[in-house]
Amino acid sequence: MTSPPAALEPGARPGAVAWLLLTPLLAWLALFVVVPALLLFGCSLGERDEFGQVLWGFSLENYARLLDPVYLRIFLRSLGFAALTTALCLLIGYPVAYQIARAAPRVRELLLLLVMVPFWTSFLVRTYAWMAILREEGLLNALVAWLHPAWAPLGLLYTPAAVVTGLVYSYLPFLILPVYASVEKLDGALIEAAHDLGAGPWRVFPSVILPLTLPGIAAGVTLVFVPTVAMFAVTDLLGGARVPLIGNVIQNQFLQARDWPFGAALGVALLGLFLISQLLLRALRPHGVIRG
Amino acid sequence: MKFKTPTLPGRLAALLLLLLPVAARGAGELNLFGWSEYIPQPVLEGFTRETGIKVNFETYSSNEEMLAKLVAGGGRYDLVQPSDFTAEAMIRRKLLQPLDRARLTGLGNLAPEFTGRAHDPEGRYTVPYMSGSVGIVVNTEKVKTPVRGYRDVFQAVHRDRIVVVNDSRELVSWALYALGLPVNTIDAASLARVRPLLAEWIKLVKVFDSDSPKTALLNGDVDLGVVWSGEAALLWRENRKFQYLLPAEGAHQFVDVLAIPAGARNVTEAHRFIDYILRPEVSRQISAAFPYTNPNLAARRLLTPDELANPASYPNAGKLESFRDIGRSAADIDRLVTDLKSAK
Amino acid sequence: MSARIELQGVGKRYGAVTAVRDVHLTIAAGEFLTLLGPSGCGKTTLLRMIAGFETPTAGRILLGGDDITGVPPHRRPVNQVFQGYALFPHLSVRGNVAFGLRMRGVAPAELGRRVDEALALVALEALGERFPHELSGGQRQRVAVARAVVCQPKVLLLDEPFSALDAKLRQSMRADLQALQRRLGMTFVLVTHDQDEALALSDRIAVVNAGALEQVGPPREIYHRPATAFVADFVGHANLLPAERTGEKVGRVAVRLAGGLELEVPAERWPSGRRDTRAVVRPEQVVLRPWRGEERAAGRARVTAVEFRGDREHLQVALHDGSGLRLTAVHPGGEGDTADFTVGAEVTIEISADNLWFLPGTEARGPR
Repeated sequence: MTSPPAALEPGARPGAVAWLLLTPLLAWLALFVVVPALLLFGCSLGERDEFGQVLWGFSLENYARLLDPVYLRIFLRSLGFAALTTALCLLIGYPVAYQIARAAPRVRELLLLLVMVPFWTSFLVRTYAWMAILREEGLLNALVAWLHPAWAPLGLLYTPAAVVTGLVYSYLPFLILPVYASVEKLDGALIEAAHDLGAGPWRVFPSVILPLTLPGIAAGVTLVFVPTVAMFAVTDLLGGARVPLIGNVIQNQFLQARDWPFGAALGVALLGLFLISQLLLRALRPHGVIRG
Repeated sequence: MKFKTPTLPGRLAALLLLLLPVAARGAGELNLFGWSEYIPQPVLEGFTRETGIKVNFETYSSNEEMLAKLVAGGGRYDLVQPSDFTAEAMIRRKLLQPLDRARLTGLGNLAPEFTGRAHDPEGRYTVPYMSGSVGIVVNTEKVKTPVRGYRDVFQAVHRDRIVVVNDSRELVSWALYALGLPVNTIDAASLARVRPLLAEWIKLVKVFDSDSPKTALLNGDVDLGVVWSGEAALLWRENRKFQYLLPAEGAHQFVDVLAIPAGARNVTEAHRFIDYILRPEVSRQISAAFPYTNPNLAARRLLTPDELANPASYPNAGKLESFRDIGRSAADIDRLVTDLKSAK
Repeated sequence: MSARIELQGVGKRYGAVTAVRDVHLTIAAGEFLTLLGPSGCGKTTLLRMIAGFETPTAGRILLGGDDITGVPPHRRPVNQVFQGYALFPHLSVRGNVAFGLRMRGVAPAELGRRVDEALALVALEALGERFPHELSGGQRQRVAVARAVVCQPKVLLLDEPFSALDAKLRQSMRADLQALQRRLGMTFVLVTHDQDEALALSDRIAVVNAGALEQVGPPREIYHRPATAFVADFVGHANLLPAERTGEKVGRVAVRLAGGLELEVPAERWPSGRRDTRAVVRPEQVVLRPWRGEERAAGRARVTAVEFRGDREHLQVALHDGSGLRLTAVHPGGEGDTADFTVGAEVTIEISADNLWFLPGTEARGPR
């Protein structure tokens, strides 16, 4: 008996084929994630020369500088802003996502479209629109003045509240979409089962719906939290650049102070922070939810 | 009728035809790297119309950003637009190449006070583009108390009614002026003296904005500020209630220049562009769009009396001073300002 | 503990579509009742109305005499075993079983005891810490049952509880479920489309068709004395042969069936006052003999298809009488016999008169 040619043997070397198919992805990751991260790390060990160019070397001085209370405080404040933004996005976005996922298919498509419509215009244009709304002689104050003149003008623009508003507005869709996906996957029979077993409408949510949509929440929270920590444009435009967040400081190191090594060290620290938070999220993810 | 597959020479010819425009463009091209909101689009179009040279225009919003990209990008740019003190550092670093002055027929149009300045005493590397100052703008409808200098701006009564440019060196220089310290020799001792004063000032500021500080003033979100004179000139043009003045303690005068980077490929085109800018009628066009102080005397003669009367464009004499390159101190200044802003 | 359910003229409409119409049904306390019907017949809607997931648009539902028509599901003393089980994937087996007790605020000590009992009831004591995805299909079904009965409902509803299981497992799970029902004495309402399941498990079967009840009765009655052609055909296979009354003797009726077969049946089986109707001839009542050249035309037929099923053979025969009628017959599949009944073989059929049933209904037309 002759053995069939190896190429026709199904699944003879699935590993090789899989690797071949993965090559573009791996190349992309290597080229645009791993290499830049290594460059960043290498740069963070260097030094700034008099003219602001990078002198490659090996020094931990930039990391020592990170421990300066100024930067620690900025880190903490950035995390606080991001946490607040994320919490508000969750509070507003979850019910929206839930309702969209439970709506009739035609309505659902329309609502999803509406969630994504803002992406059709530039992020900066939308932020400027918020400036027009929040400024002293803006739309919101005109409305307030009309409703109750004594309250006007509310000094909203160039405040932390304006920054958080802008951030929540910008990142809300990034929370809605993954939560929507996980609610949509949720088997309606599970909710009925919970009702059947005596859970009223208010108890079904924490006991069944919340734990089962946790993967969507985790994805959404990550998608909102990570970019907001490092965001600088919104802070500049809506916050009047008064209170620097870590994104502003990093941007400054690259464009104003021209201290790339220190900027790189800040970036590496931020990267480390995200890695830790991802590991924590993974560890906290309850057993059994991974496979529905 | 049937289509035949083209022969190999046919295909090569087609390929060459496709490449031709690219090659042609390469010959008549200028890669210009300039400030945002500084070079009017009609000026670029007029240049291309006249010379056939295509202008690839990229913008930046700080000298440091320009330097970062120039150093990283090698020979990508043919013409840059640094401020005088940055040009000085670039000359020292051999990042600029000498100009062929013979090719710049309009040099004679420049006012003498704008040539031979400290950053380039012989004018070998740079040609002034526009000049300006950093001064105080006041909404006189809202602010009734007299404002003469920095200390009058940064008063507790103006808390949250102030806009300033978001530029660490500018901020520090104002405090240095207020304290009577030199702005071009900055060391740990002078920064230590600046610190408490600047800390107080920063607490009073509502908006830090380098790109468009006029916006907050126009929208009524603030009433006074320390801003680029060009911004103040636009405000005055909009409404005469916005008055500009040079701070009594001293003020920064900047001259932004045109210069050719050492690695530039299209040197001829860069020279033609500089010479085009030096023409009175072109320079006049720039003044109309961005009313800074025009160093081109011939162009100034073409301005309307109204334009010449703009106090922000052509301020009454004050104590004006150029910035010089301060090297490593830039990072110390940034650190100080970051620190003070965070302390709020 | 268990209670009687009364459906009084219950109906459900979705817009213009009527899913359930005018159902009157009383399920006794402790009874095992099956709602049997094809998919889309309304049996699931009926179950969901008892559970409280749907509100009837007409009629009332009483539980132990109390009107529960408008009571939401979480306040009804009724629990359900869902199709596909709907086990909570984020909870362990114990967590699933304890869920209902937790929602009712049962104290921890009692809760633990009752969960243990429920798990023991379905022989899953050892798997309490597993998660649903770590269980086999049969184990999941047992968890679903334990999760429902631990709440001590007055009625347990089961929605196609065996459909996710393979044939062999189904048999043993059926027996377990029946034993459980006997032990708990709980009212069970099962929904299924599988007649075998219904016949094997139920005290009574309610056959549902097109949103209405066709017939309600014990399995034997449903099988042997179907009230309608639908029931006859849906519950087990039936050959519906046109039948005509040709004469009458004391206590007997002479009948001629399609195909020319003449026979006598007990008078009580013939619907009184009818001249003709249809006979329900179960395949096992059709007896085939090889044709040996007899002259008699009655019962002559030809085998048109043979389907071997291991313990028996299903045969299709076509009658020679010109009516074109086809019958299904079942023949025990002994090895020696098969040669006689190959496709094309000429046969004579006989029908045993003893258990022949005649449809009482007024439907004049046959199924074909």
